[in-house]
Amino acid sequence: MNLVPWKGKKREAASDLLDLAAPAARMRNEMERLFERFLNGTGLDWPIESFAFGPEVPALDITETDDQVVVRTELPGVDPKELEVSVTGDMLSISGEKKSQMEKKGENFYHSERRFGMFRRSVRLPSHVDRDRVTADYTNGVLTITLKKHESAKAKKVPVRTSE
Amino acid sequence: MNATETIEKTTARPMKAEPTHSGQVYMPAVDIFERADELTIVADMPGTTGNDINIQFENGLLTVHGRATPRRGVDERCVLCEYGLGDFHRTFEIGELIDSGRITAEYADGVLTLHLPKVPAARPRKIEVRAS
Repeated sequence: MNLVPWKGKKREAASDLLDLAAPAARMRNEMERLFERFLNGTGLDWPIESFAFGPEVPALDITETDDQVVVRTELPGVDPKELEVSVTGDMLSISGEKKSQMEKKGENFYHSERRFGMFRRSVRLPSHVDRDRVTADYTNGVLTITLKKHESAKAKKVPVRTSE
Repeated sequence: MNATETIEKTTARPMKAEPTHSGQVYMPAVDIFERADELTIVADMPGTTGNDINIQFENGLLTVHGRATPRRGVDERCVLCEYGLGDFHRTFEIGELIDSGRITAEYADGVLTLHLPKVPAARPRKIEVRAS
């Protein structure tokens, strides 16, 4: 029988089970992420206010049609009851907390990439919206906020008259 | 994990491999942790559905692929687009210490949880100390 220190044997077993990436590739990925964080934090046309240090969080996808503005963001693993979405004037605020479900004893974190914690983001919408006609939906980790534009904000076509 | 730590920008990063279909493919961020009787992989894969996730195990390789649900309507114009939409894909090497026939998975709120039970031989065994 082989007498091997128990802790050492367990570590080896874990790395036998999974092999995610060679150390060099992991280092490169880490550097890439670092640069991405640094470079993508600035240079946006829309006035963005962020309460977090570093890049804006969570990442937003804002689109508009003629009569509504749609804001989407990916928030996997967040309890929808903890999400707060509010509209003030033409500012939209989203805040909440992503909780780590796994804090129980008897578990070893072998690899950790996901981040947890509180987040808050405010953004100025491209158009005045009707605050009474805003809906928010959280499905499969994607939060979709639909804001109907205010009547005055909808584009009104102006006919061009020519004088001959 | 510090509870007040702010979340980083989307941690999914584009894959380097060439995609065989159009569109960006992303590697989902995963947490892996170990219990006495199983290994658990938790992956952030928002915007797909249980039916669009394909998990395959072959030759010791566990491949997870999630097809993204297209979201935007045709008449939507981009105002501020900070993240891309694409499928999720990630591969893991599984050793013989995992009982591959009993791997299970569940998907809720954009999070995929994979349970990889260990074979009985791999579970830690408590050894009793007899005092004389």
